[in-house]
Amino acid sequence: MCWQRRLRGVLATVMAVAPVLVVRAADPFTTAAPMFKDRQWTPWKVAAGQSTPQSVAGVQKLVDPFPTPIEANGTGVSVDFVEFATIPKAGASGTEWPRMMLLVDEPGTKRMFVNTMQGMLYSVSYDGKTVSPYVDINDAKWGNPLETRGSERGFQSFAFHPQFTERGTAGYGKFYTWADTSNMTPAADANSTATVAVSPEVILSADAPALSSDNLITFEEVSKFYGEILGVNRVNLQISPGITSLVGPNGSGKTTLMNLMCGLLKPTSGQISVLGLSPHDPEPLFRKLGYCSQFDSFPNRATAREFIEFYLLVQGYTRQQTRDLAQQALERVSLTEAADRKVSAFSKGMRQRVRLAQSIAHNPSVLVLDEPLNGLDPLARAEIIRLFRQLAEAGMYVIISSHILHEVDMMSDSVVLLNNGYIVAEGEVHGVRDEIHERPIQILIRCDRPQVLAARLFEHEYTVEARIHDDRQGLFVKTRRPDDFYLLLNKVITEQHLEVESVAPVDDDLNAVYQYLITSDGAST
Amino acid sequence: MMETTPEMREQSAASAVIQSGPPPSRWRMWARQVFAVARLEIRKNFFSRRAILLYLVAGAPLVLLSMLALFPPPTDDLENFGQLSQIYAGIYNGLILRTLVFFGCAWVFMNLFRGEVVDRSLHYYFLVPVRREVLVVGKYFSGLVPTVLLFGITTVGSILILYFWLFPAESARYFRDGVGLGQLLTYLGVTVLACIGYGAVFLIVGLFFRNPIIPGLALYGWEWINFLLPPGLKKVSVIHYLQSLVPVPMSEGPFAVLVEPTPAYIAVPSLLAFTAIVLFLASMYIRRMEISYAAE
Repeated sequence: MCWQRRLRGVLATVMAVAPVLVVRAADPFTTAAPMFKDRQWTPWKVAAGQSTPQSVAGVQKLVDPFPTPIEANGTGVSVDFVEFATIPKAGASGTEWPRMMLLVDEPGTKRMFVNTMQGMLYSVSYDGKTVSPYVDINDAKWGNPLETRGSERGFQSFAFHPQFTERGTAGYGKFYTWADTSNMTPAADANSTATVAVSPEVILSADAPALSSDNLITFEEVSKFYGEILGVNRVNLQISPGITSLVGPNGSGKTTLMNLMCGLLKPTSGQISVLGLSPHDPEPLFRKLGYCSQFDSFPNRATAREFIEFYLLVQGYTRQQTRDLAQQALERVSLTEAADRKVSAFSKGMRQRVRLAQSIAHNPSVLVLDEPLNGLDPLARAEIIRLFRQLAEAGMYVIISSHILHEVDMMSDSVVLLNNGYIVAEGEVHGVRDEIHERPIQILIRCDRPQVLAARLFEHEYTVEARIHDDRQGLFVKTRRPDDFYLLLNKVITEQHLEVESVAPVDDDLNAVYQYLITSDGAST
Repeated sequence: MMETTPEMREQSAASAVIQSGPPPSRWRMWARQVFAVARLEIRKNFFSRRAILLYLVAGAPLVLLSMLALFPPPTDDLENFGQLSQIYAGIYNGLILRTLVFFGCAWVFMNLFRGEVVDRSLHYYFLVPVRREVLVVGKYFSGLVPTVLLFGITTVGSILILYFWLFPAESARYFRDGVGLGQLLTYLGVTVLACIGYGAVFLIVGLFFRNPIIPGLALYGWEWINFLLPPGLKKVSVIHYLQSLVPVPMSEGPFAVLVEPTPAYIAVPSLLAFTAIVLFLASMYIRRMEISYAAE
C-alpha cells in the first residue's frame, strides 16, 4: 500500500533524525531547574500509553517515557519527560490542529513544560481554557522552556500550528512534567500519576507529506568551477521549509549556491532539485521561486509599482491580476506610499524593498534572498525580518545570505556555514555549536559564591576551565560534556545552597560558531 | 510566532482569487509573454539614453538632405530630375542601407542582451517563469519595432526631401502617376528586411561576444567587400539579398564579380529563413546561458 510505504518512510526519517537532535541539544531542565531551587520536588510519574490510541503504528515508540536523567536525592529535583514526534496532517484546519495532551490524574500543583526543538507550538490550554494563546518558537527554545501550571485535575493540551503541518516537517521535542510537592500530601504524592495522551492528529498521519525531493531543495554532490576557480565543491545539502541562512565570508560560495539553485549558473557536476523541479526549466520553477538578488538595477524612470508590474506582466498575468499582485507586494514591504515615485530617487533601503516586493509579488513557495538586509536602517530591517518570519511561518522556504550574524541567528531556523566553497557546518545553530567538540561549551553561572562553585566543579573531569567573572558574581565554566556538567551543577547548587541567578551558555550563538569554524578565533567572554 | 491576522488571511484569500481562473493555453500565454517583453523593451529602446544614438543615426540622412536642399552644391546633377533616382540609389545603398541601418541595427540588437548584462539587469528576465526562447522572440521584436520605424521614416523621409525640395511639381507627378511610389515602397521594404536580417545577426553577435565591436566591424567589412566575393560566398551575406531587391541597381565598379541578382521570390524567403535559423541558434544559446556579472 502506497500510504503504508510513505508512513514507514516518514517514521524512519523521524526515528533517524529525532535521536540525533535530542542528543545534540543541552537538556533544558538542567538549565531551568536551579531557578526553582527553593522548592521541593519529587518525581512525577508518567504512565505511558494508557490513553494512547493503539491502532496507529509508531505511537508507542514515539511517546514511550524513559527515566529521568536527574537523580533525585530526597529534596532535590527530578523530572520525567516524554519524547514526542509529530508529523501533523497536511492541510489541517484550525479545528484539526495536532494536539498533544497530558491527563493529570492527581490534584495538586504541577508544573509542566514542553520544549519543541523544531516546529511551532501554537497554544497551551488547561481544562479547555487557553492559557497561552501564541507561543513563539523562540520563547520555547531550550533553556527557556514554556511552563504551564495547573492545580486541578484535567488536561494540559499542547497544540501545533497548522502551518507547521503544511510544511510537512516533523516536530521533535520533549514534554516535561514535574510536580511541586510543597502543597501536596505525601499520600497524594506517592500515587500521583499522569497519563500522556496523544490525539490522533499528532500521530503520524497517512496523509502527511513525506520528506522527499518534491518538498525539499536538494543539492547532490554539486560542484561549480569558474574555469579553474572554485565556486562550490561537492555540496550535499537539503533545505527544508523555514528560514535557512547561508553564512560565510566573501567568496565562500553563498551567491554561487543561490545562483545554482535559481538556474542562473549551471553546476559543473552534481544535481540540484528545487521542490522536485530542475533549476533549468524556468517556466515551472519560477512560478514557485522568487529571487531577490543583490544587483541594484532598475529601468530608468520606472516607479516602484511599474517595476513590479513589468515583471508580473512578463509572467503572463492579466492587467488586473498584475495590479492586484503588485499592490499586495507593495503592502507587504510597506512601500505603498512611495509606490508611484521613481525608483531612481529611492534610498538604498527602499530599492532593496522594491526588489524584495518584486520577488514575492507572484506568491512563490521558495524565496531566495541575497544579502537582503544590506542598506536597511534598523527599523526597516526589523520589519523585513518580521516579514521573512511571516513568510517562513506560512510554510515558505526562505533562503537568505547575510553577513549580519546576530540577525541571522535571531531569525534562522537553520544555518549553512560556507568557507572557500565548502559547507563547513549546517543545521540548527545550537546543534552546530554542540558538534564542535574541540571547543568546550562556555557557560556563565551568575551566583552568590562563585569561588565555592568553582572549587566543587573542578573536582570533576567535566570542567575544563573555570574563571570568575570580573564582578565576582558569576563564574565562566568551559566543559566538553554539557549534559553531565548540568547534572553536576544541579547537585553542587543543591548541596552548597548556592543562590543562583541564571545559568546560560555564552558561546552557542552563530557568532561563536562562525568564529570557531571560519575564523578560528574563538568566542570572547 | 506571528499571529495570523485577519488582514493576512484576507491577503491569502485575495491571492487565491488572483491566481484562480482557467489558465490560458500555452501558445496564448507565450504570445502574452512575448508582447509583455516586447512592450517593456520597446519602451527602453525608444526612451533610454542608448536610444539617442539611434535617433542621431536615423536622423542623419534627413538632416544631410535638408542641408543639401537648402544649400545645393554647384553641380549639374541636382538640376536634372532624371538623375535623382540614381542619386537616391547611391545615397540609399552607400549611406542608409550599408552604413546607417547596419550600425543602427548593430547598436540596438547587440544591446538587447549585452546591454542588460552590462546594466546587471538580465537576471530579472531569467528569474521569471518565461521560456528563454520566448524572451529571445520578445526581445527581437522589441528591437525590430524602433529600427523599422525609425529607418522606415529615414528611407521615406530622405527620398521625399530629395525629390520634393528640388522638383516639387515633377515629383508629385512622379509619385502619383509614375514609378516613384513603387520605388519608395520597395526601398521601404528593403529597409524592413534589412532590419529583420541585420537584427537577427547582431542579436546573436551580442550574445556570443563580450565586446561585439570587433565582430561588428568585421561583419561591416564582409558586407562591403561583398562585390568582390565569388558567387558562392556572396550568398553568405545579408547585403547580397538586399541589393537584389533594390529598385535601382547600382554599379559596383570595375572590380566587381558580377552575378545575376537573386529573384525576390528567393531573396525574401531566404532572408526570413536565415533570420529564423539565427533566432533558433540564439534561443539554443540563451537556454544554456549563465549569468555571472562579476566576470563581465
